[in-house]
Amino acid sequence: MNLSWLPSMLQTTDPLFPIGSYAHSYGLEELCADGEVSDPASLLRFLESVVFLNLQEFELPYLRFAYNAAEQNDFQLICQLDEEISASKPCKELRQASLSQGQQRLRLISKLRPTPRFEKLAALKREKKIVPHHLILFATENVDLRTPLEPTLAAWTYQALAAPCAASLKLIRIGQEGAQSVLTSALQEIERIVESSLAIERDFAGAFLPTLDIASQRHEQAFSRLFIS
Amino acid sequence: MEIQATPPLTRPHVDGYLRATCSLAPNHRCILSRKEFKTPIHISKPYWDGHSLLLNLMCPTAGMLAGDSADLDVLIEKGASLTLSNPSSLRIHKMDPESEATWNQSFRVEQGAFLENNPEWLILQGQSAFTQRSAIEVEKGGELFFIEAIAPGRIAHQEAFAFRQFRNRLSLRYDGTLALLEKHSVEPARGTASSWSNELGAPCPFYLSLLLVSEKLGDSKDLWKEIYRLQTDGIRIGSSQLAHPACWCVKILAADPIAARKACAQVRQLFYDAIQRKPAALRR
Repeated sequence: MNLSWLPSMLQTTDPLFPIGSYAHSYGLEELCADGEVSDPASLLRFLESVVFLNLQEFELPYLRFAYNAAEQNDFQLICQLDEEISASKPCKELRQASLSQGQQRLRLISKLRPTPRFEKLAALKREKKIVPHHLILFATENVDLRTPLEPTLAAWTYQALAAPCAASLKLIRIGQEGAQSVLTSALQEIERIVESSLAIERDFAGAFLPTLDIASQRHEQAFSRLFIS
Repeated sequence: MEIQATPPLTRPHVDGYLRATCSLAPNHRCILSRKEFKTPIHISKPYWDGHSLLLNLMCPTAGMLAGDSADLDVLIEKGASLTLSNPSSLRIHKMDPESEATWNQSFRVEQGAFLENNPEWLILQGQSAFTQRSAIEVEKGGELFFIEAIAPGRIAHQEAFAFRQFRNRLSLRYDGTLALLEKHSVEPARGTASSWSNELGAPCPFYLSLLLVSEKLGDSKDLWKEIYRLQTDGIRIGSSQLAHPACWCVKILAADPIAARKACAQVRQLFYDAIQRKPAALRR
């Protein structure tokens, strides 16, 4: 069994990896302010009705497209996917969150484990052909690590579910154990979400998330806030 | 004896279109310099109100049935102004499994031109399947107010989220930059309507998406504050800048269609004030 990719992947998906994900709630803060998410049960409903849908219909398909493009060294397609990811986010805050984490990951991986693909991505960024978004960097990094596709998708899913659970500690009365209980329930669905995402084609890859879009849009105008998004 | 396969049932359907160009005439009035249409699309006589050319688009059939399609190709030439209104709801009716109706529309707004697209509700009735593709291109200096209004069924008849599939793909390019790409396939039976049906709280099924494009919007902080304040019980509303600084989007979810339309009308007036244009009376 070749698991040489695993330690490196665990390193860069760990909350310790400094790409600033702790500063984002990804729309959760506004939903808590509105009272729609207020306890462990409603946090789990948020993950199930919003985060699962975003992962299955948008993020995991685009992660797969970017992974396949990086494997083929198809940088023209990577530029197109990066532009589509930008345009698919109708909220400036969520676009900026993806962009700033992508840029941090590019800077750090280029320093820690430089590869020709990351050099090419850095060059494309300098030429303003990519932003680049976090999904693009995560996909390319895991192609370089030779992480198989399905574990790459599962690792991204874990990050996307763990981040709002971590943010919830500062937003609702839940406690460490409560947040871990919610995360444990959500993790049971990872395999199903990853498998469902594999059937999504690029023509209609995207999630219809009006409640999240509006919450994130309102968060930009909020009088006070703890998180950047 | 060889058994012959039964041929698929072919129902009568209509493939219609609208090809229209709005031009600025030498007398500074806007005219329709090209108008070609075919059922299920019919257009009214255009009305010039001194600021914008109002064109009512109608669907003379009961709505879209299985296999029906419509293609719209609308060009607003340099300096011209067109208000495209649809005075009645567009109903997508119940249809057989495997069949669907389609609507493809493309809009091009040239430099200094203006387009308002202000349709009534698109109603996705029970067991319907509908695919809509919209491609909008706005040249630098062009302006746009574009509404999508979608109801997930005949809510007054207690029918909500009973449609089979709604596929929607909308792209907005401004000055060549992809500012917005919304695409999704909503299938309630597959669980992909969970954010729209809002499992988190009170249902607000009436959805409006408003695209606002103008170079004048960049510094309109007061406009976005005003829109933020429009939220009330039964209305959720937010606004944000898209991937080009001249392009903004306002999203509304409402508990009832009247409240949704009222909020939409308020945003419309605020937008026209911000870009110093006069809105056309929609006459509906």
